[in-house]
Amino acid sequence: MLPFQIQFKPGQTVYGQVVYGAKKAIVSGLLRPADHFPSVRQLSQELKINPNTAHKVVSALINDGLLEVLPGVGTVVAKSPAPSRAARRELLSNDVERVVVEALKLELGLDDVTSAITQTWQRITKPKL
Amino acid sequence: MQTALLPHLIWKDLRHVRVVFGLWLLLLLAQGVLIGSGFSVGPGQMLWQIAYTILAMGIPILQGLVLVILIPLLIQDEALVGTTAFWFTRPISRGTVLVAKVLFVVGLLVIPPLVVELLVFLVNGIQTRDIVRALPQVLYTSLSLIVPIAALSTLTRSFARFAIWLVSVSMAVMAFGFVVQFGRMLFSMETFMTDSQNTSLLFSRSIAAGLCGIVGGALVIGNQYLTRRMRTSFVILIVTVASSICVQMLWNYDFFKRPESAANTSTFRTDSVSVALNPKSVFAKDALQFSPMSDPRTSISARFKFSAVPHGYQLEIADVQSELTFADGTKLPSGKVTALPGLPDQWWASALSEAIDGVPVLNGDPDSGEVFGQVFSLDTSIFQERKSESATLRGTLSLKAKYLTVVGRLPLRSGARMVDGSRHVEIATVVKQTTGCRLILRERKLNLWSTSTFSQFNPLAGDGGVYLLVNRARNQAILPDQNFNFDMASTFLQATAMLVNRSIVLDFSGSRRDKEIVLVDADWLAGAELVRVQAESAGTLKRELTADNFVLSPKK
Amino acid sequence: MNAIIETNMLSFRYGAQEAVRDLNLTVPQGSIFALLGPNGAGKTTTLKALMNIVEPTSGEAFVMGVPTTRLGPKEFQRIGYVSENQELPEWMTVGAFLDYCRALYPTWDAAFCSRLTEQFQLPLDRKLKQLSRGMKMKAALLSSLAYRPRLLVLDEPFSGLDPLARDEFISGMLALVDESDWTIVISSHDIEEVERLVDWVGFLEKGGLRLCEPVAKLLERFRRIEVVLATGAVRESPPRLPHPDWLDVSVQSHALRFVESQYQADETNRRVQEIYPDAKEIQSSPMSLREIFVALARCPQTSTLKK
Repeated sequence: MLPFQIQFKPGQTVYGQVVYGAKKAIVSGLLRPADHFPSVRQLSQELKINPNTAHKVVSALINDGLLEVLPGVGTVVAKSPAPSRAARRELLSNDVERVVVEALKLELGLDDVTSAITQTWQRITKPKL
Repeated sequence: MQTALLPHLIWKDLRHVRVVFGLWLLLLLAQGVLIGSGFSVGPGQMLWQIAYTILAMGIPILQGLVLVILIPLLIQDEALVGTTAFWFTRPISRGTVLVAKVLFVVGLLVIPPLVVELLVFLVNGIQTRDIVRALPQVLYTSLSLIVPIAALSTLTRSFARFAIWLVSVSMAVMAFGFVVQFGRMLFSMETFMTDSQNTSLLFSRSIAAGLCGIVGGALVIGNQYLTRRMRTSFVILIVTVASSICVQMLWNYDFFKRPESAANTSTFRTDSVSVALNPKSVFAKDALQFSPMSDPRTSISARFKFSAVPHGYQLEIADVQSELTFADGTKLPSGKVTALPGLPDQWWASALSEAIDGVPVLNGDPDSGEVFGQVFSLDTSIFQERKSESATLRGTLSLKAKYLTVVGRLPLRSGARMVDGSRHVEIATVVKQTTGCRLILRERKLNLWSTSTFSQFNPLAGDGGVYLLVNRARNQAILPDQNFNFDMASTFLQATAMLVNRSIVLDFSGSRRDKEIVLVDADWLAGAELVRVQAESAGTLKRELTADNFVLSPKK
Repeated sequence: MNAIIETNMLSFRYGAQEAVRDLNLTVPQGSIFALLGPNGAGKTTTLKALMNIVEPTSGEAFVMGVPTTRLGPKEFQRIGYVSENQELPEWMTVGAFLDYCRALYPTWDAAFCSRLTEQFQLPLDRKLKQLSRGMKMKAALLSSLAYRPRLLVLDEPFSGLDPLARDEFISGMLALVDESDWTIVISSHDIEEVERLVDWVGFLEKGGLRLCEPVAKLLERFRRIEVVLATGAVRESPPRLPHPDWLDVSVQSHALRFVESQYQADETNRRVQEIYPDAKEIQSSPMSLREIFVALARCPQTSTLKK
């Protein structure tokens, strides 16, 4: 079993989606530094993706400094300072873009979007009685 | 070729066919026991006869059927035809598969029958020399069945298709053969008739055709495995089948014919032998019609009297070429005269007597020394025209001479034995009856192609010999009664087995045509012995025949 | 790129019908290659020719550098082939079958074999003819994986398999990737399963290769385009013929829809505006491999535009 989940959607490359999913898991704290990261083989088998792709994903994550290879241990999540707010904001950017495009399609304005977001935020974060 | 894989493949194949193979081995052993045990059934015991015949015929047939199932099963596990066989994409070369199959067939299907036959012969005390002579025959019998079946298996992809092909090819061959035979009957009746009486030629033909099939089949198998080119294989198949059929119809060399030399040796002077026709014995009857297209014919038969035949010899008529010259000068040549097959052997009392040192044979045929046979054949219409006219018959007779000789003498007691070449005879029981006695003999003979006792191609003919009871003290000899108990079992068995055990029943009542000539009582028997006389071929000769005042249909 | 499979004007005829026509196919070594195409496109025939099960009518093909007509035991020791058409020896049990195959391959890994047997849950003592179709395919796959072939060829491996069996089959395939030297070729007309796996695609149509390229490139250049036309402008047909790179073009009420096969944002927009100057909005969305396949299959190369 993988420590993170990925819902594959059409339209985006497998590589892109797996990298995104892994980054989200690391940045959001689902995977902590020194946690064991799945090997290329495990990624390939569990996600049913091309091992070449899995290999590229791991290489990319290592290049970005999110993962490191420890001799004798394998691939682990790198110890690094907590991801910056900017990095985390970047992860949200896809969803933000989708909301904006939908709003434009429905011919709604920025105010509508903002009020909708505020309402939903309040509803979800409302303390439970 | 991947030698290391061979045992692996062979073992796999054995596991695959183990049930069918086991059945085949069982049948092989059953046949071995049946023949090798020396069990024999006498004529007249109907129930035993039927049971034995069923077994003797049935077991080889079942063996053949089992092979028809086993060989395709074996070969089609690595099918050569189609695109779905799984071994095509596996690291097994075709050469390796071919060698593995050949080793399996040779080691497990060809050698066991050889071994069983060897054991059967050994148990029955057959000589090594004869065992060696039996081997090619066993090989031929095995291969002539195995190779064509294997060839057809390599051309088909599943047992169902193989079965369809087998039936179709067999039917096509039979249909084609039938058409050719029918055509020959219609257009060349004479050759057809001569050929069908020449049973040894027919047998030679079937052997030659079988060899053709084996060679062709082997070529198909080799081609399929080594090149997998279906088209070439089919061409080879068609050529093989066609040439087999042609050989079966037209092959002319008789492997089994014993060369006949002209008779006139220092011991057998034939110069003074002459022949005359007994004109009172002439009689006419309708000839057998084989072709519906030809006109009805009448055949004329008569008795021929031979004189100055040296003692100990008798003559048989092989062929007659004759011509009638009528008073008005017209000449009428005879049509083809057909010898009548299947008559019991004729024995000349004088020749028999000579063979047993002059002891007269008292219940022989009074007309012996004369031979009955066809002399002329003509269109019935002409016969009707000319039947009362007197004419002169001139003809040439082709004759075969036979020399009679004693080949064995047995005292009249149970257990007495004699050996004549590959024929072993033993007296099983002597039964004294109110008039005469009954002897039950057990005969074992080898039915090999290379022996003179081979009778596979004409099991209905006599075996060229006769038994006599001889009492020298009283200077009397008698022939056995004609008994018509047909020994069905051994007749059938002779068609398939190489070693034939059979019982022979001889009744000696000392009478001829129900008239007692010699009183065969205990006294008489006390001084008698059983003698076997064999007719040996002594050559051929031709004689001219002239008969004046020959009338086609004399009034009696 | 090192080609493990290469064909040169490969042609195959069934009687009068050409199943494969002048095919020039290249399969890169180390890829997972999907040979896609509608039924009757010639996929199975091509693979059979590559495996020397049938002999091509003309042209040539090379597998691992060896001409296919000369493929022998040495090459087949490194090749695995699984096809729904192949008949296994039905009388053998699974265990007997694996034992039989083991003797044929020097690189047979018994430990790997038993691991896979367990993973596939194959009953060793059941005869092959008593297995369900899914089990049979798994047994065939197992017997083609256990010796870690360099080249694994799968001809319509998923047809007739239930989703669980498909999943297990793919797991088995991927178990091969522990080795460094492998190539997998899958032919299918059902690509949902393999979408995430393949990195090269060849699309076969009526015996000819319509395209052969990396999946990434394919996903890049295909887009589904929807153009919103000005309100009130109802057109039945475009004023000028659409671009030949556009497939499956349809015009309905206010929208022009088509599949762009050579997508480049600026260029595509320009083309649209050339034909529909009053286009209000141009939306492009990426397509899955399956959607691309459907679009290609709907518009065979020789056919004219659909309305």
